[in-house]
Amino acid sequence: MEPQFGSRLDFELEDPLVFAPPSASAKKSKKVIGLDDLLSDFYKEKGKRVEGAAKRKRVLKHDSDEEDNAREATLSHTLDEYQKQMKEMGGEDEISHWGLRVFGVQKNPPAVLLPELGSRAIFQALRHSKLNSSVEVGQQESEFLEGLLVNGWLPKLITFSGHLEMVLAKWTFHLLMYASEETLRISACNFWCDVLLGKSEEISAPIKIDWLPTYAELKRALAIYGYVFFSSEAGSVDADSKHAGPSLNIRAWIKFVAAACQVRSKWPMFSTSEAEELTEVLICLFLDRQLEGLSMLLYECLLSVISYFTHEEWSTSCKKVAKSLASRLSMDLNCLRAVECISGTDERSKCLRSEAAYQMLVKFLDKVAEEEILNSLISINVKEKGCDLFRMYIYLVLAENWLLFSSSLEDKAVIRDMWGLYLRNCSCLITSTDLRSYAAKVRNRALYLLQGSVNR
Amino acid sequence: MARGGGGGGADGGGGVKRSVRARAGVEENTLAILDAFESSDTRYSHDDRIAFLEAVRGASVVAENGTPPTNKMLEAIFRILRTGESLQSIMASFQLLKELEKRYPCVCSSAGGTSESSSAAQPELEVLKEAWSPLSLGSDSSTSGRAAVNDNPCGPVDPSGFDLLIQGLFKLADGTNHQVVDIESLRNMLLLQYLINFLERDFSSRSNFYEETEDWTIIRESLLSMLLCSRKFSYKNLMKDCPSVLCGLRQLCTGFGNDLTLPEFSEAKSSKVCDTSLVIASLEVVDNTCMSMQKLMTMIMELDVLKNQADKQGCTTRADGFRTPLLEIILDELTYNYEILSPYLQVFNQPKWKLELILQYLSKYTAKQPSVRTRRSSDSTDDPTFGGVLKCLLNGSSLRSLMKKIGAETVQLLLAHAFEAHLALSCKSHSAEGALKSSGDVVDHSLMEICKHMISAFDGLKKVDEKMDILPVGKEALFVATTILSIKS
Repeated sequence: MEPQFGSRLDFELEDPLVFAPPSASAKKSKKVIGLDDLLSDFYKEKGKRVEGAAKRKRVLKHDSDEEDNAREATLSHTLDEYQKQMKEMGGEDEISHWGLRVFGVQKNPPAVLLPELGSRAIFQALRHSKLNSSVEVGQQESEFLEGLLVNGWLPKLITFSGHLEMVLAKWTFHLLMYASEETLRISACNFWCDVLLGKSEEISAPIKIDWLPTYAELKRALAIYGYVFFSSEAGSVDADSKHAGPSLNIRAWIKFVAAACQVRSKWPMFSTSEAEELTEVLICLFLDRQLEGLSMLLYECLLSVISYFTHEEWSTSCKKVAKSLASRLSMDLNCLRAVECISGTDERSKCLRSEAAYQMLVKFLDKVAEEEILNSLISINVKEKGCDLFRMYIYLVLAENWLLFSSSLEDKAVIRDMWGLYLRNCSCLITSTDLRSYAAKVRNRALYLLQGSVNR
Repeated sequence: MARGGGGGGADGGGGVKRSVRARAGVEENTLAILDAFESSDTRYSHDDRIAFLEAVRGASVVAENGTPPTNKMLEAIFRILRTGESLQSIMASFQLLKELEKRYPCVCSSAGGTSESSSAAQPELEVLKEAWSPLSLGSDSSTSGRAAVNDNPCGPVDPSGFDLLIQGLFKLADGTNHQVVDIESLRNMLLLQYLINFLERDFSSRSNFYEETEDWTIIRESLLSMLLCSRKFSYKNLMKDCPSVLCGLRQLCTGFGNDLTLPEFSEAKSSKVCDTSLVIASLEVVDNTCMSMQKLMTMIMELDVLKNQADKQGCTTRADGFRTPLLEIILDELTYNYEILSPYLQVFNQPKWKLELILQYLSKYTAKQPSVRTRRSSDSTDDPTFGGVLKCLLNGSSLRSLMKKIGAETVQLLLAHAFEAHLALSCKSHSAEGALKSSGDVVDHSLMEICKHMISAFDGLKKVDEKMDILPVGKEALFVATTILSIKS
């Protein structure tokens, strides 16, 4: 199938539609009206091209049996493809999806550095003991070590000895980040979480750890998983590639970060700017649909990263993170997702959520002062036919997040009044029979918010 | 959505009235989001569901003086969890339900007597009677029960539904396609996790309360106890499957966790994105389900202990019914189903109960007199301790007879895992030194002695059977014992 696949892509390269980024869950979007009509129209037009493609194939192929099959396959594939596109097109004007490809092609993980048993104090003690013969570790050192890890012996040894040696630390961290076996990576992850978060803090002195991973280490791992550091070319990654990221180790990575951020008092692993970057990375991870299933994990991790900052650091760091986030996202549903994934349950995340939304508005509207932003929002005429209601929707949600998660609504009467006016604009000037895309969404959202502000 | 307009205007009356009105307002408003398009378009309704969840979250979780969600709202969220077609909607509803439960628990003890310093300041357990529950346990529904299961696939889960969920896990773990878990199984696993979480919250606040008051009815009325007493499913059959379910889930995790990049996943090219997200989600969800199941089992075993206490004090009545303690069921299952002994010991990581299980296993074969443990008289005074068992095994003849009965490998397996559990427990007490002294069990034999005895027990094994191979886990245990000795000496 591969060659045909390739040639199909060839002719499709001429088709501008194919360039539309593949929508993540196209099959779920169903346009009610006229999809079939549109589809048949579409086929009439495109039929020639399909034939053309098949002809081209005939030139390339000689075996006639295979050719028929191939042609059939190509045709049906193309049909599928168009059907999908039709659905996308149908939905395009009304519904777009959030979702960024945050991960590109995975790279090869670095080779395992297996620690030598003999090099460690713990094991040297063993050498001297008479039991060495009956334990016979010598032959399969790596297996034996893995056994110690998987069966949960290592954390206990570390607790009793109070000392995590460098080789062991490096080896387990490596497994956590790169092991391809689920058991190993999870055990290594549990090991680190145990060591870092271990409850043995009150009485015994904290464990002495000879080596701690740095931020560069975490960053390197992400890069190996294929993480594209915010570059806009992320979309061009071939989704079919066998090596498309992320690696399944991403779960362990997230868990490790969450644990590492909770122990700043004992083991400060990140500088302020690194923690800022980490916050941003985490929010970007939320944007990848492939990680949807990890939303709980990410959510908790983001909370602990935010709590990593000291009180003094936070006020500036929050702004920095928000600004850089705003500069990286374009105006689509992703920026809403980015804002809404910030929990908002505590002071800090409220602040970040509000600030991020604010910074995005600043960027999109090119205004800085609060009143100016609201003014330009109010001045948009939603009744006008050419008014981009999708934009309006994004502005509305951003403004909602900006204002409701900060105290400016309570503190400033001017802002409160302008916000009310804006909401009334969106709700009253758009009629319930307005069929423009996103009209209903803007209207309903505004109505809901208006209702909330009255109840307040 | 516009329907909500009426409620907003003038508000009079006191604070209570206002909060009731606010709640009603929030309910009407948020539910309107769902109504707006619910019927017309699937895609829209997906968006609306997400918007609804976000709105409830905003009103109840995020807001500082948030209003608790009404039952109708909770039902709607629960319905989304049970019927959601997309990963996003089931994850979001699951998360929201958990957050809500944390913020607005149904059962809480009103911090014992702090309110008034009056003499009889008995702590009170506040149970919100009319609160919504994801479980329907009332006996009154038993008549219409069977119909209700089918009629309302989005409503509360009844005992037989709970049973089905766990059986579903059993089938899932047993299934031959170890590839990707589908959305429906993910949904069911999340549902089960949520239910167990719900049971746990109820049970733990009740058992805390029980410790203070020793009022058995508190425990009897716990959701867990009511669930287990239900006649709508066979408790014993279900519990018998639990060990296999745990092993199966772990197997599932390691199964598809290893080979994401293998060809089978790249076959379905067009849905690759979907596949990856499902695989990643499955790993996470299956892993958490495995933990939840352990939580459930631990909880039941704790309930068994409490019930046993109450039995002795004569607090129980016939109404409490009789239930075989879970530990016994598991023990039987592991004895008859030998293949899962080793994987089960590896998966089950609640040290206290793991140790208890092994000790009971061993005591079945080492007890001097073939003790017929009558139910009412089983006294805890001569409950075996690990130290005691090890000491007993120092005696060559008893070790030999044990090996004859259960085989050298099993002895190794049990000893090694018991040692691991013992270490885990002493690691804990290592930190909170003194706090646990009273619980005896762990501290009575010093760690050093245990380590020494472990080594001699293995020496003993070797002496009895010279050709015996030491299992990897046995080697690890020996190694750890030696190392600890060398650290401490």
